[in-house]
Amino acid sequence: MLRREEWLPLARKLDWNFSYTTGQEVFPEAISGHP
Amino acid sequence: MVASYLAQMAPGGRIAVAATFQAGDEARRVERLAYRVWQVQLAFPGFASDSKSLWERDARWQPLREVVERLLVTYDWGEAFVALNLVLKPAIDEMFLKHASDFALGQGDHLLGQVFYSLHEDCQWRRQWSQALGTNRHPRYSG
Repeated sequence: MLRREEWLPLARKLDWNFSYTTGQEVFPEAISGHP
Repeated sequence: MVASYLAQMAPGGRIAVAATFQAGDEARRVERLAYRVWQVQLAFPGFASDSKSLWERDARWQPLREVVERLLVTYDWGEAFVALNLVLKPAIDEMFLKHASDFALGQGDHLLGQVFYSLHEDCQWRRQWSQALGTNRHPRYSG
């Protein structure tokens, strides 16, 4: 079993680069906020 | 993630609850599949190491990827609900969780077959509430 802190880096490997939209459209600032 | 959007944009509280549970089911699906891939990688190093690049570049996956990406920016609730719950998910769930389950069991992969079978059971209640809502058969909406 993975430790809890090991799950996020593993899950982030599922992120892919968008081709048919953009990250800005998927995560608009009004909903997602900003860093 | 699209199911979460459906919950967030839902036109009613009961729909929001159903869509939230659906999002939970789908998070469970991602976790189970990711965990099973990791288990197989322990036995077969390199297994599925090209899965992300296949998803991003292989021509056979691009129609599905385009639909998924366009759904991620479909903020009209009705359009998103019909596209996800009445069109895309029934087809994808049947192919991956029913037929892939049968295929895995037929190939002797009992564990994967059971995992897919369990995930397919999650799909049944989602399909029922979606069809009821889509055809206005829910008592709340049928008058």
